[in-house]
Amino acid sequence: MIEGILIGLKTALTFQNIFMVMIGCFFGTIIGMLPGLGPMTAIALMIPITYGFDPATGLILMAGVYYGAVFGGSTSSILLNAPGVPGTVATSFDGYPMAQQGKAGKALAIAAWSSFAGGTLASIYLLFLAPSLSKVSLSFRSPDYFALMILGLTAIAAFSSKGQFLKAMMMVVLGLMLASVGQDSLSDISRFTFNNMNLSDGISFVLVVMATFAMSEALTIILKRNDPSAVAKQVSLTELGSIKITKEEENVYNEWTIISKYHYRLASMGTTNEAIKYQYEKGWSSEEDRAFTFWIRPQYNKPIGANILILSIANNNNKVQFNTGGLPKFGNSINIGDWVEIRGTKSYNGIGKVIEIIGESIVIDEQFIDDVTTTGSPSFNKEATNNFMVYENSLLPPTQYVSFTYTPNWFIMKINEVYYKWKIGQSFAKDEWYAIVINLNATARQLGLFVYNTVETSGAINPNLTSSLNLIFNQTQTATPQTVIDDQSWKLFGCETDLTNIRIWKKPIEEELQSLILSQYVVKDTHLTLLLDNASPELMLQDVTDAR
Amino acid sequence: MNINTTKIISLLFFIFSAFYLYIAYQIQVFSFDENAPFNARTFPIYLGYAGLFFSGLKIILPEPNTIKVNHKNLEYKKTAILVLIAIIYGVTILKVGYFLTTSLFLASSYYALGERRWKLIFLLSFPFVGAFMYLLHGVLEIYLRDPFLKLIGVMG
Repeated sequence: MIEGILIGLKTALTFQNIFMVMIGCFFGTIIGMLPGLGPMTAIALMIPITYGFDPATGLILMAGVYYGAVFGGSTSSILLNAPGVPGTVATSFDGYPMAQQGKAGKALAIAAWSSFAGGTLASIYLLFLAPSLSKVSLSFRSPDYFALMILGLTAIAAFSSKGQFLKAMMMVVLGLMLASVGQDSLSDISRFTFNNMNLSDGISFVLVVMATFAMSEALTIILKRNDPSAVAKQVSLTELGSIKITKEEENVYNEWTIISKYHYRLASMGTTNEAIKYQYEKGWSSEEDRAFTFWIRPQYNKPIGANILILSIANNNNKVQFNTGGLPKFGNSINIGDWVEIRGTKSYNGIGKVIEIIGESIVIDEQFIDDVTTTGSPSFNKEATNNFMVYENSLLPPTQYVSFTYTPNWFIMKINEVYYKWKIGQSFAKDEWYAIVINLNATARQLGLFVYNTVETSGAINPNLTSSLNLIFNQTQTATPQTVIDDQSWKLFGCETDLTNIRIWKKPIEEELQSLILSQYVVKDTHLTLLLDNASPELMLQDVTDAR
Repeated sequence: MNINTTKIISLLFFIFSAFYLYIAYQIQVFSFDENAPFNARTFPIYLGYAGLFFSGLKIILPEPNTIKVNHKNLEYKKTAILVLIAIIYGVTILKVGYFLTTSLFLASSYYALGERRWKLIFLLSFPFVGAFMYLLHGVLEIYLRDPFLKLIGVMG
């Protein structure tokens, strides 16, 4: 056998044959890039050219064309989401999302390296295992093929993501329905051809793939061309990006993690008191992306305060001042730092932060625009305010560079002097855990909020279900990229909330990954120790509670 | 208004499965095969029932993930026009031929999508399709039947 291999290598390594491999790969890649033309077409086109060569050179040329065409198919998969050949359908699953993030260059480089490594290894295996493999392939009979098909179809049930089983099964049935078009392989009876000759051969796989991937992608692009998030995706698609794969890329995401077996019961501290100060002291530059994830559980008893009528609106040093007939003095009283929901005004409806209280008037941290009201009864009411995490300096009073706040109906993030506010469709309910993802995308100039809740029911926590999350809110806002200075402190503040699994990431987290990432390190077993990852907190919290 | 697209698609698939099942029952099999345990009709019939079953379940069972779609941001009109152009293209390509239909399809699509630079529309349709046609015919020798080019005497 070794002698045979050596003779083969001697033939393959001549200058002419190596040149033929290069030519074959080059043209094969070009043909493979065209959606719909695959390795078989490429080889068919090359047959007339090989007539003049000796058999070994001709076969080597065709092998080059074949491998080139298979690799070329990945290019259209990655850049257009249009797999050129059936073999590159899977490439589009990862490659196209990478291209959407502006990493098309990297995806193409990875495809090239993987094709080269996979092809080379497969050739070496084939060299040694061909005799044994031929015996296996000859022993395959109809029952074996049938078993293989059943395995393939049942795998769909296993691989379909959680909660998507019915969708997956519907698509299996649709696929089989499409496959049943054409002549029956046993009896040659035409099925579902509607007397159309073009359908008698069935519907080709490449055609189905083009229709489901490329056509749907094209229509989605047109449909969502005015959608802010889709526009951002298209912006990044025009950039090929670097093809370099750096070592840092392997650990690109996680910037900072606080994971604990326990959750922080911030309600055990007085409101606005510093509970924890971390030694992680980093901001970010205006070119950098960030993502923030955490789990919160509201603990407020009085989520919404009484409705207070606004008698007039005044200008207080360019900030807006609401004059009222009387502020509540006890119960749900309004304090500096609270957030109030405003309605019935022309310019200030929404949520605003109280920065000053003068007698029966409150001053809101909003620029004064006008004093016009739109309804006869403009009013505001306090929303229980949870300012749970801030990044600030150590001066008195401190300057907050970043802050995260939520109220029963709103989520607010402040970056330097700019507030980003989201009105949550479904209110944050007491004693329910919510997982939050905030994506700051500097390239797309966007800030997106994703809110998930668990399928767990309160009081009956099933750890096995922790990873099942329902997206209940998702909205993206335009954000001007800003630099947040380094060397300040990340702190947790006392407020009416429970908090855990705080993580800061270097990159926005794609929606498909969010459930997985939010479920990571959710400590399910009490035997795991209290883990404080790469942060050293100065713990001032009075107590921590049960494992979530 | 919240439209749960999954439910609508499931309903469409349910209707499609019913139609598929009806056609499956119409498949003519050989008379000697009529009572065979497995003939050309058996598998499609089971598939039709499976389609009805799964899509029916999807319609009935509650959907936990209802993501709000902002319909104001979606370009339904342009998409519908493009689908219509694509259907016309599909219907006419065999009768008219690749060159003219593809060129007109590209030109009308560019226009529908908002392109108004006529020079660009023309350059990226007729000459582009002509060059592609030459690549297929002249270089790669892939034959495409084209009645229009035959009529004007360009193709033999």
